[in-house]
Amino acid sequence: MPTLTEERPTASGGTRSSPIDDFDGFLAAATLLQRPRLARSYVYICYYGRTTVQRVIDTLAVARATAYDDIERLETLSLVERDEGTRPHELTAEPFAFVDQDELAITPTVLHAVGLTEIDDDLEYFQHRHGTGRLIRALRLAGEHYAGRLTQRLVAEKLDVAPAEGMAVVQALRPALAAGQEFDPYFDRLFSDIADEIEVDIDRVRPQPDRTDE
Amino acid sequence: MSEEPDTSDTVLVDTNVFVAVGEPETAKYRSLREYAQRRGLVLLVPQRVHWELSAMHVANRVETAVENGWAEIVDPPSPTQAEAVTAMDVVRREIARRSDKDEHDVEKADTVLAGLAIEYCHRRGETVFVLTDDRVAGAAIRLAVRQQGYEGAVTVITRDDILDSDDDIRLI
Repeated sequence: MPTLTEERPTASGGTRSSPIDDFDGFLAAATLLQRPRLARSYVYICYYGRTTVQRVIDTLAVARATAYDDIERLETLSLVERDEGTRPHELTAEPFAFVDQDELAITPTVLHAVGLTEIDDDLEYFQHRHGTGRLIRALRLAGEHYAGRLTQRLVAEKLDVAPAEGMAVVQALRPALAAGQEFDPYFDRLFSDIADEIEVDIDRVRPQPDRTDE
Repeated sequence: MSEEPDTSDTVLVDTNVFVAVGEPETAKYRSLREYAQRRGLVLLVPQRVHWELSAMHVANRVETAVENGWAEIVDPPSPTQAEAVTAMDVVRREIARRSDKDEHDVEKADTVLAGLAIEYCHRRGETVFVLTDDRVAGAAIRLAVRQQGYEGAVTVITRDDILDSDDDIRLI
C-alpha cells in the first residue's frame, strides 16, 4: 500500500503535504470511487456550489428521494456541508486530493470521470468491462491525447483495449478534463507536466441549467 | 477551416469519426449525415475502419450510412507512390516524437491515411480530404502532406469543422 498524502491549499495559495491522519477522509474518497452516483453529486456541489438540493435535482436530473439520500450520505462522509442558516439550505463541498509519489491520485477530476459513468454509455461500458482502475488510467491517457502527445489508437494500445474502445473513452472523458482544468485545484497533480498543454474543445464548463446566483 | 469538400472530392474517414458521432439516431450522427448529403459526398470508409468499429459492435453506424448512400466501404490500395510511402514515414516519426515512443510501436492504422490520401490523389487526380477526430494523428498527417508538397491537394478536416458545436454535451 503506497503512502498517501493529503494535499490542502494553504493561505498563500500553495499546497502542503502531510501524512494522512484522516483515515476517514480516505475511506470517503474510496467510497466515491465505488459509487459513481455519489461521486457525481459530490463533484457537482464541489465545482458549482454553493448550491441547493433543488439545483442538484434539476441539473443532474436525479429523483428527489435519490438526491436527498445521496446528499445525506455525503454529509455523513463529511464530504458535503449543509448551511442550515439559509432558506433553502445551501450545500458546499471542499475539493480534496490523495496523491502518492507514483501513479495513484484521487482528485475531483478523477471522481468526475467516475461520476460520468452514470450518464455516458461509453464510459459505463468501459468501466463495467475494464474496471475503475483502468478508467482512471484512461483519464490520464486522455489528458495526454488532448495535450497533443498520444494518438487515440496509442491510448487504446496502452490501455490494452480495442482501438474503437480507446477512442470512445478518450472522447467521453472530455467533460472531466474541461471542467477539471477550470475547477479542480489539484488538476496539475494529476497531469504534472502536461496540465497546461491539455486543450479540450468544450467552451462551456458550466452545466445547464446555469446557476443564477453568485 | 474554410476549405470544404464537394461532390468531386475524395473524403477518407477514420474510425474515430464514427465513434464520435454515436448511434444513427443521435443529433451528432444526423449532423454528419447532413454534412455529407448537403455536399453530395460519399465518404470512403477503409475496410480497416469497418473492422475497428465491428470490434466494438458499432459497425451499424457505417452500414447505415452505406445503405443511405453517403458512405462506401473500400478496400484501399496499399500506398506505393514514393511520396505516399514517405508521407507515412513522416507521420510515423512525428507520432513517435510526440509520444516518446519507438517508431515501430506506432500503429500502422495511424500512418496509413496519409499514404492513402496521396495515393488517391495520384490515382484519381482528385482533391482528397481526410476526416479525423484525432488531433494528434491529424497534425502528423498535415505535416506529412505539407512536406511532400501536397498541401492544397490533401486537406485534413476534423470533427469540429463539420459538426455543430458541442453545446449539447452533458458536462456532469
